[in-house]
Amino acid sequence: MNISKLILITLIILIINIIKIESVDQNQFRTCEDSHFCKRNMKGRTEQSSASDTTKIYKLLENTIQLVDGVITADIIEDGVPQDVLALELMAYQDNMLRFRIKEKNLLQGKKRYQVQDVLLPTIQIDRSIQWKSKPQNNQFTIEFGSNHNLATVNMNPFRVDVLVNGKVAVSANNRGYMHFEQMKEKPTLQLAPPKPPVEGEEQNNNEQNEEEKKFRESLEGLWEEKFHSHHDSKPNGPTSIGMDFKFVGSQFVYGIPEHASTMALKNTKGEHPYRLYNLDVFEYELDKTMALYGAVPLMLSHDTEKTVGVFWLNAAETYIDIEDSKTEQPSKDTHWISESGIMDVFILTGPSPKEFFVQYATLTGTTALPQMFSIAYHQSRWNYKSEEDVRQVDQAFDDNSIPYDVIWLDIEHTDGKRYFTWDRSNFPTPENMLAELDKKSRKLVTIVDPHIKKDSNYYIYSEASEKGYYVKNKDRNDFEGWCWPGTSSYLDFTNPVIRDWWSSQFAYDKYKGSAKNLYIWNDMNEPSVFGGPEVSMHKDNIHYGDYEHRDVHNLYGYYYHMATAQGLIQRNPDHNDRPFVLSRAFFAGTQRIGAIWTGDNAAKWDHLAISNPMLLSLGLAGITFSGADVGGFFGNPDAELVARWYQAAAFQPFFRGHAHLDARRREPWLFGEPYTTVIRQAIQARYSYLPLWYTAFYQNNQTGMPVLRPLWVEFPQESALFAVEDHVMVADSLLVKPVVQQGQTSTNVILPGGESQLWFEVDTLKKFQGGQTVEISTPLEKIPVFQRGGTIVPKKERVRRSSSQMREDPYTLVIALDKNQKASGQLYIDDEHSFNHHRSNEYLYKQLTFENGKLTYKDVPQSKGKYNFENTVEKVVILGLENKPSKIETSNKDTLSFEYDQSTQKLTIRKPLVSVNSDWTISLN
Amino acid sequence: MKIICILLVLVSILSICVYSKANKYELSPTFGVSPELLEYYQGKTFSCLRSNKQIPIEQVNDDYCDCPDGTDEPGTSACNNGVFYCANKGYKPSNLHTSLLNDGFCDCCDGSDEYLGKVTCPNNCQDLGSELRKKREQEIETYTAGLKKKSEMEEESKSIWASKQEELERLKKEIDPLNSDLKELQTKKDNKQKEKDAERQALKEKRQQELKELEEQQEPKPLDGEGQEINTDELKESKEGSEDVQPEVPTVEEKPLTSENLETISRGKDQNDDHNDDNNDEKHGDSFLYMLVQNHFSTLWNFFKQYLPKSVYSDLNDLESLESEISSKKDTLREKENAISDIEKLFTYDFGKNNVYLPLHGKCFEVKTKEYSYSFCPYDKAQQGHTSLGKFEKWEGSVMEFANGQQCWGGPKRSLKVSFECGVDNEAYDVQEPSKCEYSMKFKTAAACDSEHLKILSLDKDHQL
Repeated sequence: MNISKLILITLIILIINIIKIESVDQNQFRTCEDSHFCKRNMKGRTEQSSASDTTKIYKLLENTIQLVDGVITADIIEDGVPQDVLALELMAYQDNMLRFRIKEKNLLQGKKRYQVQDVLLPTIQIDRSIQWKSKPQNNQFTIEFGSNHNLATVNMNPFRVDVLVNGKVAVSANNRGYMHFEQMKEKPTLQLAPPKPPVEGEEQNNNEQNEEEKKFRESLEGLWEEKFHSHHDSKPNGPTSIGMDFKFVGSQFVYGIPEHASTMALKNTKGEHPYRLYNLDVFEYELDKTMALYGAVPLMLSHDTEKTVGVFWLNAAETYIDIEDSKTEQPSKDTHWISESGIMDVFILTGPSPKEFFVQYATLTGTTALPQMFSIAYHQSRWNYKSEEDVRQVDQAFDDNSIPYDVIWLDIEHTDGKRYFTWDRSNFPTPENMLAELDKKSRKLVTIVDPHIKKDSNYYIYSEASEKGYYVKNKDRNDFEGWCWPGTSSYLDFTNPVIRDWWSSQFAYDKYKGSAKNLYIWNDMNEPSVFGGPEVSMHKDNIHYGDYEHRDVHNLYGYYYHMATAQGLIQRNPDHNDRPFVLSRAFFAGTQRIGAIWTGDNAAKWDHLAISNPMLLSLGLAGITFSGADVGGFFGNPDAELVARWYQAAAFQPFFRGHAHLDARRREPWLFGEPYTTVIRQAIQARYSYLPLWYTAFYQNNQTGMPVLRPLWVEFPQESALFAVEDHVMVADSLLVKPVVQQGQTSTNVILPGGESQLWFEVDTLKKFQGGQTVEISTPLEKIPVFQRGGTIVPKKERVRRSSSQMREDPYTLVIALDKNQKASGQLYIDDEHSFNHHRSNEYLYKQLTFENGKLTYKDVPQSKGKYNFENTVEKVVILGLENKPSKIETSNKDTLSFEYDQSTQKLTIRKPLVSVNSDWTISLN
Repeated sequence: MKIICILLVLVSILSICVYSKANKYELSPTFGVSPELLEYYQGKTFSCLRSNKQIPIEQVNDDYCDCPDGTDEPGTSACNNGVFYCANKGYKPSNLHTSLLNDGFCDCCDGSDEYLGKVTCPNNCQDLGSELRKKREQEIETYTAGLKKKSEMEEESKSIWASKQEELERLKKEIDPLNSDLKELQTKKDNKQKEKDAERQALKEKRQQELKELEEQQEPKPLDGEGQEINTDELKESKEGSEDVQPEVPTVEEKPLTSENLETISRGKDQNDDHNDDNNDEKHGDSFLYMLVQNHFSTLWNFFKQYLPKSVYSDLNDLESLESEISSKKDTLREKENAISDIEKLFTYDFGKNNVYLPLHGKCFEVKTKEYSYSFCPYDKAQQGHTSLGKFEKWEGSVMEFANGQQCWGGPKRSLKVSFECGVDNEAYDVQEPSKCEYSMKFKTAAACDSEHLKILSLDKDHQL
C-alpha cells in the first residue's frame, strides 16, 4: 500500500509545485518580443534617414483632401503600394481636442476592423468651426481649431501631424515615421504546380514540393497563426496591427496608461520591455514592471511648466507603448504605440492647464459617477467571512471597538459552489435576515459576482444563457469553455447589448434570491480570467458579438461586464433611484462612469504599500479616480506596524477597503492589540471626519474631471521639482498627505510646495509652515503627516459614528486655513448621499465658502442650480492662522457668537454658529 | 442608598421627558450621567472631569463639545469621547459611547439612547432582565455544581499528585540498588571473562602444540563442520580468545559459507539466544566481523570442541546468563529513568491553583463536526482526524494553546486554541477555523469554574433591579 500511496503523494506534490512555479513565472505572460505583431512594428523602426525596406513611409494624397462640414478627409498610401488606400479623417472636438482616424478605405469583402464602441460619451461634438489656416500647398496644410485657437499642421509626404499649443509644437504624430498599418488581406494560398506524370526523379520533385510547402507554412507563422507556449492562435484575419509614434515636445515627463505596478512618471523602456496594455489576472504581481495588469486606459499625458497635453489611443486590443527620451536638442519624450488590431483612432488633448486637460478627457469618456456616501467610507472584506454568524461577530466587534465601518464583503465562498447569485445555505441560511440586521446600523453588504458561469445544467443562470446562446464562442463557433473557480465554465458575451440587458435583469430582487436594497456587488476575474487559458485569459480567436474576435475587444470585456452589473443594480429598484456600487478589477477608459476599481491582488509587503499611491495617482490621471488598494495587502500576513501604516495611508485614498487572502490570518483592525487598535481606529475615524471633503471632491470630479487624489504637480504645475513626486498626494486641492510607507520610519521629509507665500497647517498640531521648503516631520506610529493648504476651507464632520449614513444629519465643522492675505475659500456639496435626485431634480446644495476681510460668506456656487431642503447646520468654525483676535463675532442674523482665540497657535474657534446649510449667510469678525 | 440612586435615576429620566418635548437640544445637565457622577453635574459651573476646564452649567448637554475629555456632553453626541448612562430599569445599566445616541439603532434596552425618535425603540428591559435572571440562575446552578465537582477534582489531583510523588520517590529509591547490582554483575562478568580467557589461552597453546605435532605427521585435510550446531556466543568467545592465533588460521583451508551452514548458524542462534535483536547486535558488535568469525572458526570450533572439558561449557553458559542479567537490569533501569523524567516533566506543567487541571492530563475529548472528528488531549496534543493540530504549548490566560501541528498547504503549521469555560461535565465543542489552519475550540470543565465569579453572580442576584 505504502509505495503506491507514496508515489501518488509525490506526484501531487510535484504537480502542485509545478503549478506554484508557473503561477509566479513572468514567462507566462507575453512581452513585445513574444508578440509577432509588436516585433513587426519594432522591426520597421529605423530612423528615417536610414530607411530600410522594412520601414513603411506613408503619404497623404493632396488631390484627395476635402474639408466638408468641419471634417477633413484624405487618402493615405504607403509609398510604393498605391493600391492599398487608407482613409484619414481629421476633425476637432469641443474643448480644444483634435481627433484623427485611419482605416482601410475599401475593406475586403467579409472583413471588418473593430472600432471601439460605448466608451466615448454620446454627447461629444465635432467642432465644426475648424478652418484652414493655410490650405494644402508646399507639402503641408494648417488648420485652426477650438476656443484656444490652436493650430494643427499636417505634413503630407511623409504624413505627419503636428499639434501646436500656444504657438509651439506640443504633440507630433508620426514624427519618427513609425506609422505602420497592416491592411486586411486574403490569406495567401500556396500555388502548387499541377502534378506531373510519373517520370524518373519523381521523388525529388515531391521533395521540392514539400520544401516549398514547408517554406510557405513558415511564411504564415506569426502572421496567419501564432503559438505561445502550448496555446495556438489561429489568426484567421492575418496581420492587422497598427502603429504610430507620438512626440511630446518639450516635456520630460509622461504619465498615465494604467495599469502597471510602476512609477507615476513613466520610465523609458527603449531596449527593455515596453509598457503593455492587456487586461490580465496576474498572480502575485511584481513591482516596478511594465507588464500588463488587470485594466487598461490608453491615455498618456505629458506635463511641463508650460502645458499639460495628452494622447488618447482609442483601441481595445493588445497594445504596447515604448517610451524614450528624444534625441533632439529640446528635451522631449518619444513614444511608440502598437496595437494588434482595430482602427487607428487618436485624440490629441491640448490642455494646456492640468484643469483644462482633465475637462477635455472628461468630455470624451466621462467623469466618475457620483458615489454613494457609504462607498467612500471604510469597507471590511476578507476571503472569506464564513457564515452569517461570522458576519455578525465581525460587525459587532467593530462596534465593541468603536471603529466605524460601512460595508462588509463576502467573497466567492459565500455561494453554492461558486454559482453566483446563490448562497451556501448551510453557512448563509437567511441572507435576508443578515442584510436586515446590517441595515439597522445603516450598513451594507457586498457580494461577489464573477463573469465565469459554472457549467451545470441545474444552475439556472447557466442553463438559461446556454439555451439563449449567450456565451462567447470559440473559433469553431461552439460555446467556449474555460476553467475558473467553479471548474468548467462558460463566459457570457457582454459585448452584446442584449446579453448585457439579460445580465442586468438577473439582479432583480426576485431573481437574486436573498438580495436586498443594501446589497451591492463586486465584479472580480473580469479580465477575463481563464485558468489554463493563454496568459490566464481567453483565446484571441474566440468570437464575440458582431463577429469580432476576442483580440479586438479583449480590454473592453471587463468594462462591459462592470457596466451590465451596475445597470442591474439601478434597474432592480422600481424607481431606478439608487446609485449603484460595483467594484471591478478589470477596467478600460470610461470605467469611471460605472464604478470603482481596486489594484487587484497585492501583497502584505512594505513596497506594495509604497506603490499604492503611485498606482492610484496614475489611475486618477487617466480618469479613474475612484480606486484603492487592498489595505494590509492581499497575499501574506502583514505585521501590526505594516497594517497600521497601511490604514493611515489608505484613509487618504479614494477607495478604502481592508481585504485578505483565504490563507492569510485574520487581520481585522482590533486583532493587533494596543497601540495598534487605537492607531487604526484613529486613521479610520480621520477618514470619516473628512467625508464631507471627499464627497465634495467626488462631486467636483463628477463636474470637472479633476481627480480626487492628485499628484502635487496638478496643484503646483509650475514647480518642475514636483513632476515626479509620487509619495505625496493631494486630496482635492486642500490636503497634502505624505503617509509613512517604510518600516520603522521615525521621521519623514515632507515637501511643502507653493513657495514662501504659500502657508501650510499641520492638521493635528495646527502648526503653521511656509511653503517652498522640505520639512522633517517626526513620525511616531500614530502620526499621519497631513497638511491643510493655506487659503482653503475644508468641510468636516467631527462626530464620527458607526457608519457614514448615521452621520448624515450631524452638523458640520468648517476648518478655514488662511493664506498670507488672511483669505480662504472652499466648497461644500450636500445631497441625499444615495439617490439620483441631485441629477434628476437638482436636489443638492453646492455652496461657495469665502473668507476675506474678516468675513465668512456662504452662498451658492455661481453656476449651481441646486435646491435642497436639508435641515442641518454648522456647529463649529475653526480659523487657523488668524493674526488678530476679534472683539465680536456675529452672523448675518445678528446673532452674537461666542468664541475662543488662542494667540499662540493663532486659532479661532467659533462656538455653535448653528447657521443653516440651507440658506446663505455670513459670519463677521470685528 | 439604593433607593436614593433609583430615585435620582427616575428624576433624571423625568427631566428628559420634560425637556425633550420642549426642544431637542435643551437637555437637563444630568441627562445621561451615571448615578455615581451625578454630584458633579449639580452646580452653576461644571468642571470637566478629566481636563482642566470650567464651563457654565448651561453648556453641559448643550450639543457642543467644550471639554476635551467629553464629559460635558453625556447626553448628546457632540463629543467623540462622551459616555452616556442607560439606566435600563429591569435589566443592567450600561455606559454607552455617545456616538451611539440618536443614530437610529436601539442600543439601550430602555430606548433612552434614541430620545429624538429617529427610530422607535421598544423597552425590552423587563424581558431581557428576566432572561438575564434566568440565565444567571442557570449559571449559578452550573457554577455551584461545577464548583462542587471542582473540589472533587482538586481532591483527585491531590491524590494523583501524591501518588505521582510517591511513585517518583519510589522510583528514585529503586535506581540506586539497580545501579549497584549492575556494577556488581559487571565486575563478576569481567572476572569470569578474565578467568576464562586465561583458561582458553592455556588450552589454545596446548592445542597448537598438538596441531603442530599433527601437521608434522600428515598433510592437513579439509574439516567438515556440516550438521554441527554452534552457539554464536560461544563462537564469539572463541574468536575473542583466539585473536592471538588468527594470523595462522588462513593456513587452514576454509569451506565457503553456504546457505546450508548459514541456516545452521541462525538456527543455533535461535535456540540458544533468547535476547532480543538489539542485544544481539550489541554483543556481536560489527556483523561483518561476526560473519568473518563464523567463516573462519565454525569449522575450527567443532574441531576444538571434542577436546574441550565439560567445565568450559558451563563456564560459558554462566557468562551468558550474566550478560542477559545485565541487559535486563539495564532495561529496567531505563524504564524507571523514563518514568522519573515523565513525572518530573508533569510537575513542571501549570495545572492551575491546587493543580485542579491535573485530572485532565492523560484524557482526550472529542468533537464531531459535519466533516471531521477533532480530539483534544489537554497537556498533550490535538488532532483533526489523523492530522496533528499541534502539541501542547502553553496557557494564555484561560486558553490552552497547541502549536506546531502538521504544516498547511500555503499556510502556517496547524494550531489550536482551546478556551476553557465553567461547566459541570467535561465537554469540548464549537470548533472553528477563523483563519486558515488556525483552529479554535471551546471546552467546558468544572475545573474552570471560579468561586469568585459565583460570588459576583450571587451578588448580582441579590441586587436585582
